Amino acid sequence: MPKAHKSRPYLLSGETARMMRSDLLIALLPLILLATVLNGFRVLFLCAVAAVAAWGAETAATLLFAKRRSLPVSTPISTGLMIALVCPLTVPWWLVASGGVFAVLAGRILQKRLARPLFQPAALGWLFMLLIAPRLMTTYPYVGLFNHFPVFGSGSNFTMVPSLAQLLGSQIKPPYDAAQLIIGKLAGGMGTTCLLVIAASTIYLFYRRANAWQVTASMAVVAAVMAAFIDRAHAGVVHSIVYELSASSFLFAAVYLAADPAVAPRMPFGRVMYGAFCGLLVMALRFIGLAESSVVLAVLAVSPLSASADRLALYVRNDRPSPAKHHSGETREDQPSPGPASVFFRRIQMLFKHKEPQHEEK
Amino acid sequence: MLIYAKKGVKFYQKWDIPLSILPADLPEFLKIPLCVSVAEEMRFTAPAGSRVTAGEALAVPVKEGCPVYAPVSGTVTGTELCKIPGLGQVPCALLRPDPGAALPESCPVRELSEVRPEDLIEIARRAAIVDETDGKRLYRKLEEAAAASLSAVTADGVDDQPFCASESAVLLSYTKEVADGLLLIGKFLGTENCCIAARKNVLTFSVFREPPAGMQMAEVRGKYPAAPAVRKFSENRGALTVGVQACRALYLAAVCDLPQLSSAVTVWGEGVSRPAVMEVPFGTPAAALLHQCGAAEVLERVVAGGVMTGGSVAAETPVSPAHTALTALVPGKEYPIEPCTGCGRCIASCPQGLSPSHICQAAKRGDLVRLEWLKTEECLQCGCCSYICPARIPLSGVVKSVRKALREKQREEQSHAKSS
Repeated sequence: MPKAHKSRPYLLSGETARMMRSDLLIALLPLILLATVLNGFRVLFLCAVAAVAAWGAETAATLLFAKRRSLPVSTPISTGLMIALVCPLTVPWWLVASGGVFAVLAGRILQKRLARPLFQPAALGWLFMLLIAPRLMTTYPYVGLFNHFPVFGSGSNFTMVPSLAQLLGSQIKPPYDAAQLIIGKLAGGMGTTCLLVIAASTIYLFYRRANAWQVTASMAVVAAVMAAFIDRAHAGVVHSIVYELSASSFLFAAVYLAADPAVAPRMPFGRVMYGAFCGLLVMALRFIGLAESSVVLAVLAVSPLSASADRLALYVRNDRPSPAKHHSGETREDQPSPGPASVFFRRIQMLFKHKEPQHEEK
Repeated sequence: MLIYAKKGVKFYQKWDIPLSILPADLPEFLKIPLCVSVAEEMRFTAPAGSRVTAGEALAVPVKEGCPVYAPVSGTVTGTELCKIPGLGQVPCALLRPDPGAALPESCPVRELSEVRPEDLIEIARRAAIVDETDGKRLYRKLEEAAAASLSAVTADGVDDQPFCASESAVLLSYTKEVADGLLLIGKFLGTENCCIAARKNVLTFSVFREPPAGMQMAEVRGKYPAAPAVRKFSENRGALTVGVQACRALYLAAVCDLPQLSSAVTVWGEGVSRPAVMEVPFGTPAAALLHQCGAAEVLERVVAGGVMTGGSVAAETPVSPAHTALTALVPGKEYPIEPCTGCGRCIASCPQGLSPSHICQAAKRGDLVRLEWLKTEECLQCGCCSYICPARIPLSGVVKSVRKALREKQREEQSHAKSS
């Protein structure tokens, strides 16, 4: 419902940045719910640990460093939840907690001064966990349907099985049927394997326009096309596409990490190019032998190129290259003294400096 | 025919406005602006204390322009300076209406076929008709159309501003008059290619079902703003675009010898309890209309000309011919500006395909070269970017300031070139 506003235009849409952040949180909830139903309350425990750690880190940083102390809520919690969902069920609680803290400190606090963050915070946290505990992050227990993992136990009763990405890397046909793939009952991140729920969340986020859907779509299409041509599992075109999109949390990353509007380009064409390049990079990394880390590495490698993708899209639209900072051949001394226009711009800059809160959550 | 406005923002219009056009109550004083455009120089012909009848001239142009008429009979009590949006301080004649005075009835004095096409420019000039879609004098538009040898004419019956129904109501209530006015313009341009563009909704459904004789109907669909799509449609047909109210006024001037004395205005907003489309004599203060529509005691703001592109006016400001809507806003919430979320909605909604978020970034840096490259000058000031922005960044305000600064820069460069 549009809302009345004090200046032109006198109507504003009812959508707010807070609602966008809440939408992301809402889209994560079905994943947590299904993972809990399938794997037990340990999922909830790990999600809670990661969310509390991320929120605590952000709150502490805000209280220590920020001038305006508006405590963040939804964004660090979403970051924490995303970090927990990409982990195997057997990871210790301290690993997800440290991942959450690192994601917030490196991904949000250090990048706060930038006009556009270079890296997606949850992706940074995921990479951090892969680096400090590679074995824990890449071994998955085989948990039968509704055969729940103990909340605080070690899980020694469960057999460890290779993940889908590892099987594809070894060119072995994965032993999963269609039902297992759809409900996500396979070795992988605890909340990132269910294609059905991820698809539903994607539709919700698309409907709410809370993420850059062009990135998700182009990333998935490019990966699917490549999977169709290079069938690593020797299981037929359709199965090859489904396996590649399910492996190493590909779809989850395409929806929640690569398509994060804070990091993704803003121009639609730029988003398509960005997503396509990300999909291409994921598949290239898989083909050279990286299994579990292919998606996170590709997302992190591509995210600094977001501004360039925008520039490319603007170049395509404007049909001429981006201008240099100053006129060619004109030194600073040659430039005329600041006139009313320059003074006017300084006023606009001052207006933003006063009005824009520097330390509010994005 | 279909005109589709692909880009912009979607409004879910609430049809709580009655379909019929109500007559506005006459206030104690009418404040009739003595000029409609800045360039017109007028001579006041009705001194204070003189009595005038409806349709009698109050002022005549010194060189070129149109006379200003008294919309109702009454006594001129003097003049007063009033601030009119887009014109600044304008002298206005104060007219006290006679008791029981009303707008003159439209009685045909000649047949439509008797009107000579070559007289149409003079008829439009004498009747002081203003096209409500762009605020221009109709006679000037006709002169330009004849000079450009345009071969078609489109009546713009699209209520582009959200929650505005003036054009649709005029089209519904005066379909024949609008069509006849359009036929006159068609005859003037030597064409039978006449078309009425309107949104198909509960108001205009009957017009689409039974279009007037000799008329084609173009259905306008899609988002706000539809005006660029209608303009493009007209350009492709080589057509002149005229508002439906101007078409009706031309018919009344040609057949009934009546100048344009009133316009249809939608009074809407949270601040009024009885929204309505009203036939308002020129010079009626906004406060009188709002009072008639049950205005709240405390109003935050009165907006003339639609909520997206209109301007805030004082309650005593008289309604001018180019304003088809009046919105009363109650004190609202102030929304804090947040940092850009990068959602790209402003880019997706811009009807010109601009990138307001990049323009805003370049404006913060003061990078004039990049601002020029981003084609800031092409902005229509439709307000879609500000409306849709979830971070509440006043993007259209920034773009407007940037355009102003770019023009300043061009002037600076010209003067610098001259001096060197």
